[in-house]
Amino acid sequence: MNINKLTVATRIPIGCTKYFSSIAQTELPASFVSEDEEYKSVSRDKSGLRQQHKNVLLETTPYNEAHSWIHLTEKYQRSLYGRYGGKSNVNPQICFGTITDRSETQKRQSITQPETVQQLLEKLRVSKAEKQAAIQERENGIQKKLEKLEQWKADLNAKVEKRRADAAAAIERKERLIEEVRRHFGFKVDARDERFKEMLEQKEKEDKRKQKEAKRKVKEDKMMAKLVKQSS
Amino acid sequence: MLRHFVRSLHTQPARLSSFRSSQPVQPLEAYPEVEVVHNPPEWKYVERLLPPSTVPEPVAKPTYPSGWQPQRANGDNSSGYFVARTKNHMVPVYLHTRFRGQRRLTVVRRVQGDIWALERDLRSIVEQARNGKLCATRVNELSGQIYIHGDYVDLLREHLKSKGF
Amino acid sequence: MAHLRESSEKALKLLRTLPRVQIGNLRPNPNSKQNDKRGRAQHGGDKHGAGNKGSGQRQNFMRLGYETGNQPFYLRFPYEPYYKGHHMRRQYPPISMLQLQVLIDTDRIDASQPIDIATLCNSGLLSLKPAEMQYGFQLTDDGLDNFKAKINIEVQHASEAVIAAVERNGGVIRTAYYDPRSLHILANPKKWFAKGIPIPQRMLPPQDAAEYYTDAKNRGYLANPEEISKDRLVLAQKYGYVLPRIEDDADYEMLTAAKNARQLFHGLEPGWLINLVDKTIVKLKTT
Repeated sequence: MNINKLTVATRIPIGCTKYFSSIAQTELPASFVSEDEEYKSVSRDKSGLRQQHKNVLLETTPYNEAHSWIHLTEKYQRSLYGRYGGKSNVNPQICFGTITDRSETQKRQSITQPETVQQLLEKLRVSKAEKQAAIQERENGIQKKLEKLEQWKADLNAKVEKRRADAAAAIERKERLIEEVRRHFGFKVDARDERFKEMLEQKEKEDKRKQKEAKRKVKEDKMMAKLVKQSS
Repeated sequence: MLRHFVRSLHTQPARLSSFRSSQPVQPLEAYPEVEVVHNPPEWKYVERLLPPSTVPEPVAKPTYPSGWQPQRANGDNSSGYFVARTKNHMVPVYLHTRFRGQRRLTVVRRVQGDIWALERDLRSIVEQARNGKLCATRVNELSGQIYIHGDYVDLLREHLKSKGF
Repeated sequence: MAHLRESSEKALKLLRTLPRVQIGNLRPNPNSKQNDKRGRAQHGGDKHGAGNKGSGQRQNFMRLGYETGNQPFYLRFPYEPYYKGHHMRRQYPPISMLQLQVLIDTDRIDASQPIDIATLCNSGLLSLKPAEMQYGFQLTDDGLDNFKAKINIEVQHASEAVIAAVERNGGVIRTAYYDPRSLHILANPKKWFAKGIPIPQRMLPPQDAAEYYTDAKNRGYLANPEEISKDRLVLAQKYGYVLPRIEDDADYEMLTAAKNARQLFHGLEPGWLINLVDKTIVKLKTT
């Protein structure tokens, strides 16, 4: 195959010829080229891959020198070392970050992660104990209140009973008075009658007076007893 | 200290996963010294972390507590059909749900040989489980698949396993 | 049936005269192909299947739940806070004990080595997405009666019955916390080693997770080992099995292998750089 003819025929621009390695080679006149030589000189690589991609396929570093600012960064060079190992000619030192960076990250970590395992456990223990203490305190308070509960229940019951008894006594007294008034008149009198009401008032006054007297008497008795006690 | 840290969060660019956030390589004196250990004794731990490149062939064991069992049939049995295992050594019986779960189909795949004989066998098994009620099936002879109406995945898988497939 | 036979014979006759079915005269089924071109002219370019008026025509499909200006249904009632912060909660994708037993039976994972997230992910059948708030695996109790393997496993969450099932077989189970970055590394260690970055430290659990991982009942990795061994006995009595003695076991070394609280991989220290191509480990020189 005559390469020169090919270039003329297909009019491949000069810029593209660098992708075809065979074109770059110097061409000998056909008469000097033996069959074998011609066979060797013809490239059978029809992939159209660029050199860097061929390198990747062959598991070597894609570029021998930096083609971009990206290739100068630590991140890129680290990944080169990670992927191609010692072949990449990258010193593994750069994978660990500069000394200043390391101290900075350490400082950062001391802020974001200030605790060791022991400190964490201790903190947890304290918070747990606090929570438990709060629960215990509340339980104790409730227990103390519960101890008084029986007394409170008895008091309440007594109070209710007393109120009920008082009410019953008042009703009974009223009925008694009405009965007395009726007996006084000697016949069945309507409760709305004027006389009946008057009589009832009178009886009530009398009853009150009697009660007052009874009270006073009780008081006097008490005083007397006191006096006797003092004098004796 | 904390205030400086918070301030740095606001003023410094975010450390995103980008080449822009990575600084150019410094002279080697800036980096800590390292030692490269060849043939380290810890390499066995690293090897443990590498996934196998292919699905491993299961080693024969006396018992299989999970209910899984290796394929016993090798295709020269009298029934005239063969159901191959999947690449993960599982029985190729699947459940297809269609119409938002309204239709359930049991699919038996990877059938080789007389697919119609297998269809008859499977249908009889399913109809037995349905107390004699008929069961609709569909056979794709070309792709070696049998579609059975209803969810009989466990039943058919156990049946195929009992036949050695 | 005479007419049927006649017609079939006719059809056969016709078939003989017709050309053979071959690749040259096959065409797709009617309506099986959709035209990927859009009509342009006066009547061909009308609506292009988008319909008339509104969001259908403009293809601006409204966000889910939006009711064109009404107070949406999902905002209309006072909410109930069961799912409060659900997008922030840690998720633990489940693996059942049956699944684990199948993995062991089919040799997808090696039970003679300690099992952790990396082992499970390397089986090729399970995967973990730390970016979606997945914080590791939980071992669930499905198929726990059929679980017969003696393993040393590290998961992120396990119930009491599961712990009992593992320990009944003479195995060891541990629950451990990993921060998202560590999980990302463990989900595919081989890919991560190609980055050429030293192994980082594992972070300690956050305050709300620390309680779980310091509890001996959960076999937490931060719990007191003495308490754990005591709780193993307690659990054996509760579930009524004889606890096999690990000390007398042939695989004692494997069963007692455990990671440091700051360690990511078994046997590999944080700060080491692993190179898979050269098979070297790069360490910082200690001064």
